[in-house]
Order: sequence, then C-alpha cells, then structure tokens
Amino acid sequence: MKILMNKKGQVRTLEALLAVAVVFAALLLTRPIYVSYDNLGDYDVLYTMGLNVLVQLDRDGDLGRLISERNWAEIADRLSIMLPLGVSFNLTVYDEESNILNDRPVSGGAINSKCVVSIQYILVDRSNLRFYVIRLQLAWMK
Amino acid sequence: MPVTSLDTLLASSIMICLVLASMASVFAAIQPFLKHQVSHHEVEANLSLAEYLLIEAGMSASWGSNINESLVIFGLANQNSPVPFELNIDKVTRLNEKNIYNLSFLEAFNSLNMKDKPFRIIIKPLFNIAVNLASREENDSAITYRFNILAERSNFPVKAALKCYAVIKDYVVSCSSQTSSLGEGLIEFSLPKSLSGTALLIVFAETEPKMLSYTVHRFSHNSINPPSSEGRYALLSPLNYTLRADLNSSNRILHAMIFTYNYVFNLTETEGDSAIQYFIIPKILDESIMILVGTGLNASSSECFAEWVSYPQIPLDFGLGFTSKYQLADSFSFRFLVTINSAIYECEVILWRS
Repeated sequence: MKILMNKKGQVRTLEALLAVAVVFAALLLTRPIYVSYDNLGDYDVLYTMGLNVLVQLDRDGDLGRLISERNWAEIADRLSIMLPLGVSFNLTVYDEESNILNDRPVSGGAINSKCVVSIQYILVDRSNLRFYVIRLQLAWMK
Repeated sequence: MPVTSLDTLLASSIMICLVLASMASVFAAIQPFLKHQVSHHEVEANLSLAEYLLIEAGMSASWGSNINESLVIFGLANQNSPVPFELNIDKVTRLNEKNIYNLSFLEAFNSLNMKDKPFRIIIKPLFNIAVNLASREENDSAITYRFNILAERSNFPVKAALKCYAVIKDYVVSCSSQTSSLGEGLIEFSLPKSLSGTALLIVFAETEPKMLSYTVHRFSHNSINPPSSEGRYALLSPLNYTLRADLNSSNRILHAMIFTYNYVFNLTETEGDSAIQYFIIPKILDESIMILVGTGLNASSSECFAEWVSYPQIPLDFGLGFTSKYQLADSFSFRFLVTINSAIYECEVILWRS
C-alpha cells in the first residue's frame, strides 16, 4: 500500500516518458531537412543531362524544324533514344505568348519521383525565325 | 534502500540512456546531411571537370591530327566549334589503344594537371547490333546468305533502318532492311563462288537521323578454312583522313574502300613501302561513322583476306579501369551525348573520387 501511494517515483517515470517524447519529436523534425537535401547531386546530373540532350536535339536546327512541323511523335522518339533508360521525361513547348503548342503529351514514363528537374531552353527556328520556349522535365524512374 | 531512491536511480538511468541514445541518433541522422553539403559541391566540381574534357579543345588545339605536336592540356573538342560537345574525330581516334598513333593514359593524365584525378572515358554508339547467320544456300554460281540482325539498347529492342554491305576482295553487294519493334530484322545477299576466303558483312542501323550504330561480322565464304583473325594481315590505323596499314605479312592490301550509311568509295593509295601502305580517306558529308576496309589475296592459299577499322575508332574505353567494388563506389560517372562528324554517340566520363 505504501509503495502504491509513493507519487515521487511515478512522476519521475512520467518525466522519463516525456523525455522520450521530446527526443523522438526532435528526430522526426530533423528527418524532413535531411530528405530535402538528399538528392542535390541527382538534380545537377539530371539538369546537365537534359541540357546536353536539348543541345544535341537542336543541332542543325532539327528541333525548331520538328516543332514547326508539329511532329511531336518524332520529338518523343528522339528524346527516348537520347535519354538513358531509367529517366522519364515530359516536354512542353510554348510560343512567344506562352501558349502551349503541343496538343498531345510529349513524354516517356511517369514523372512521379521526388527528384524532378525542369530545364528551360529557348530556341529560334532558323527557317521562319519563330521563337519557342521549351520546358523539359526529367525524373528518375522508380 | 528506500523505494524512492530505487525509483530515482531507475529514472536517472533511463534518462541517461535516452540522452546517450538520442545523441547517437541525432548524430546518425544529421551526419549524411552534413556530409552531403560537401559531396554536393564534389558532384558539381566533378561534373564541371567532365564537361571540361568534352568542351575544351586542349593545347595544342590540333594535337589529334598532328602527332608531332605535343599535348600540353588535354581536351577532346573540335577547335572553334560553334556548338558544345562536338568532339574532334582524330582526338577521339587517338584514344583507342588499337590505333598505332594512340595516346597513352599517362600523357593524358599528366596533361590534365590534376594529380589526384584519374579518369576514364568510354565512347560508344547509342545502341548495339548483333548479327547471326540464319541460313546459307548454295547454287552453281553463288552462295546466298541470310543473317538475323538484332538491334537493342540495354536489352530493350530498338526499331531501326538497316543498310548492309557484304565485301570480299573488290566485290561489294549492298542490301537494305529494317528491324521490327522487337528489334529483329533479316537481311539476304549473295556472293559469287568465283571468290573464296574471308568476307565482311558491314551493318549500319539508323533509328533517327544522326543516331546510328554499326557492326562488322567476319565470315568464311566458299572456303573450308575459318575466317582470318582480326589483324592477321594488317593493322589499320586512321588519322587525319589518312589510313595507315601496317602489314604483318608479305601480302599487300590490293583494294581499300570506305563505307558509310549512304555511300561507298574506293580509297586511293598514296605512298608506302614493303611494310606500310597509306591511303587517302575522302571527307564524306554523311551523318555516319566510316568503316574502312582493306582486302587482298593470300599468295600461298589464294584465298581473300579482309581487314577493317572504323573512323572514328569507336567503341573505345580509355583510362583507368575502375573495376573493383571499392573503386566503383568511390567514383563519379557522368553521361553525355557527343557529336563526332555529325553522328551522335554516348560518352561516359568516370572520375575518381579523390
């Protein structure tokens, strides 16, 4: 009966439980910071890869010509062979007034990764001197 | 000991354990984040270095085509190239160890002036082609061959247009076909029975403009002997639009030809002696790799032989081999698309993590 009535021990056990809660709360708070910085290296690599692919695609004015012809299937085919396997993509083409030109998705794979990179590329079609803004989104496939 | 003291001792012990455990956990959770700050900059620095190798022309800028010019600073790009990632055909060719003018890794490493940064460069076509003999039919004057062609990229099928050439001595026959969506194709051609010996089947596959791959298959035609091994009669080394043939026997190259996706031409012999022959390579404006073929006749067996080399000499693997598990884990690998002579190739730059 004496042991049960001793409140001091119970309070200290309560303190210990509170300490556990504080420590785990601290751990939970640090986790999101760690995750958000986790893939910075991947961002750099994906960005460089995307820019490199767009530069190659635009060589000799091919990309501008394909956009003028609205040949979205050809652009998607070229991107899928140029990008490494395991990288999904989605390409959007805008005109001077920021209207989307591609009436169908120019994509390969699903962009549902945590690490998605968006590359903006500006080009002028040499045949008709039209100006386009291209946005290429890349992500590692899960 | 009173019960209160026991409780206090127990609670204190639990709290000390918790504090120690939390310190260890927080350290473990934060450590990758802190380390990542360093590694992020490390990735950026290595990526910039990899780009530098492919964007800069080096010094002297014409170290690729002129073997007498010493290499001071390493760089593979074309001099004054208007677009990035356009590599010089001769600089790339000199990275291939099979070329007689090849650059040693030590020369390249020293010219980079980064003593803690060994590297490796792999350049290859965007996809692969495999060739297999499907059937062989013989009649009075000719033998008809059927070959299965498989185009794939990391075991995934590739749909491509095929252009094939079969060569024996000075006889050339061409055919076209395509691979299906399963990456499979079939080609058929006939070679005359008046010729015998080693023949070559050159296969070009093109998926999109500028994106092509090739393979060369060596086979025995109208002969019981197996096809001659590569380099048995001559070692071919292209550089600066000149083909050098170092002869390994008294048999000379009688016919030299150049093959691209769209064109075939004969090469003109310029000079030479009993051991070396030189041929001029024309500058062909075709978005294709060039396959250079030298054929001749074995004087003792009266059978034809054939040697070949690609220009640029691709695929190639230059530099240190990061083969062990430990080395693979401690290196950075970056993939680029590069253009050499209007055709696109895949280039992987692997840098040692110092």
